[in-house]
Amino acid sequence: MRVLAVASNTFREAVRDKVLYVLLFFAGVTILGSKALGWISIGQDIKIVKDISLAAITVFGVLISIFVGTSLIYKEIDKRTLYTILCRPLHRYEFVLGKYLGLSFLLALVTGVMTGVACVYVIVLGGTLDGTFFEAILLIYVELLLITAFAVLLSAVTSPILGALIVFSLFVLCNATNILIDLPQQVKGTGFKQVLETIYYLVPNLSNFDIRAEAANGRAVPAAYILWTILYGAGYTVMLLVLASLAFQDKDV
Amino acid sequence: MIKRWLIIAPVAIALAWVCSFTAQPRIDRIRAPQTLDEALLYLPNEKLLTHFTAGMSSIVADLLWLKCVQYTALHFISDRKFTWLNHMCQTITRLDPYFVSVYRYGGMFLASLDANDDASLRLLHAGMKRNPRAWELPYEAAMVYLLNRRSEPGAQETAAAYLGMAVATGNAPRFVVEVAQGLLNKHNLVDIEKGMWEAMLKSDNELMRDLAERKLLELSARETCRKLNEAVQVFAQRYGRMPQEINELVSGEILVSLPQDPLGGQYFLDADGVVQNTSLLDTEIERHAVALRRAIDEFKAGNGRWPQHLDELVQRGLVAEMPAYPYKDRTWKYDPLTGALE
Repeated sequence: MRVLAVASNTFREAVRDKVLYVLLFFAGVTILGSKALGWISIGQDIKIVKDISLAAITVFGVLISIFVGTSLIYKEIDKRTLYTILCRPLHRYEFVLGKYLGLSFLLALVTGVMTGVACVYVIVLGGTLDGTFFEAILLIYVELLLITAFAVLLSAVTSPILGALIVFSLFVLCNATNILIDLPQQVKGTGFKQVLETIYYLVPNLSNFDIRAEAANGRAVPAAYILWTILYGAGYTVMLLVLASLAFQDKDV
Repeated sequence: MIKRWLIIAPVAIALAWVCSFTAQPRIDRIRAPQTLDEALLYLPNEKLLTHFTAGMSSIVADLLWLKCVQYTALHFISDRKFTWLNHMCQTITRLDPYFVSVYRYGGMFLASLDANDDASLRLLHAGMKRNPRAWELPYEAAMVYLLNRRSEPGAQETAAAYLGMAVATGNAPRFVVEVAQGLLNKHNLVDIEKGMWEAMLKSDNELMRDLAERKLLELSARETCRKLNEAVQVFAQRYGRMPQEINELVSGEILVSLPQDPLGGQYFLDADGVVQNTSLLDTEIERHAVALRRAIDEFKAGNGRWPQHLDELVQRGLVAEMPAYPYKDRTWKYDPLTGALE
């Protein structure tokens, strides 16, 4: 209940933030402008609109996760509003969870709005939407939840700017972890390969959440893949939230 | 104080803009614009590119495809040299392996504009492997054999085999089916088709194996129909009339017994005295019905209502022509109130 109270406050505070509307505006413009690229694509306009819509949902969702997430706890400390919260009967981990949940609700809302715009636009242009399109959006949301958990962890231990830089860098690198197992012949059978494979299993592989190509091309994705990927994302998210709670538990505020 | 800033700020902004405006043409003159070919020189290795698109490989593929179309158009109207076309198509399909249009049009451009039919076939084969349900890819491969390699021995037979593959996807339009059947009949390519499906039985893909199994049974049923039609001709010569029904082939001692349909259907004589197989006709109905239902749905999506009659689909260009109902004594049953087709 106390977690939900913090979550609801965080959500209301974030919804009032004008940056959110600026980002949503640009997301809308990106989605609606995607048709222009389709004109010279030899009949691939709907595919391109779907691709750009899914990319916009990801990019703007990640931006919101990073910019709001990395300042979530730091802002409370900086404005000293944290003291009035922590003097109430509220555990620190409840505060972290509440903040995280509030931002998760906000991301659900933003993802929902962008999905709505994309769906209406695709249908208006004469395209059709299948289940894979919505599965892709579901996985994007799970990916955003993971990134948000990481942003919240960094918010508890560092400044927003540094946190944002670290999260963004990791977003790019964690999308490229397949390179750690896609090794040239010379490396195979060496100790170096074992090291790289260990790193591969330690860091989250965000490319797992990428079924955008399948969605844009109307290709079905096995339900087992979706479920395993959700479980994979949930595992890392819980791990990061536990770390964030631990980091904040001992933080001298 | 405030009023002074109201004057100074716009003046400062205007001066700054004039500086930038003056500088831009000079920068452009010093740094000559990069041509599309030069830009392509820096196109990274497609394997690396896949890893470093931050999960945006599909959208990078789209943007590269737009570049590819521009590149092809530019060189088509100028020197007709398409040095980078193959590399671009390979890169795009590596980024988005399901981008059927790139395999299709890339293969077409490589064969027809660059006269590089080897590269075209490589691209189309890669596409077929990753998109076994796309009829367009074996169809384009057949066109490469019919147009680019027509003087080679066995080109028409190979083309017919590819067209057979296109038909086997179950999505091919009618004209492809007709061209395929024409070529297969012309060259009596039953063995080629059989060999193709038997090879597909060894595929790793379960769908392909199921498809091949089904197609081999259909092939067997078609062969039986051909033999039964020969028996009908023997009957006509012996008795001076056509049989009224297929059982007369047994009672007239032309056949010992009627063969069993491996697909569970029946053989029968149609109104023209031609032996038909219900399983094969039902498969044909299903293939046409899939295309018609898709066109009906497209009509509904575009017009907000179901078509009044099926001919409206032809009038609106959603289907090239209405397919005849495979059973000659029946027609398509369509309900304009619900859009249901039987």
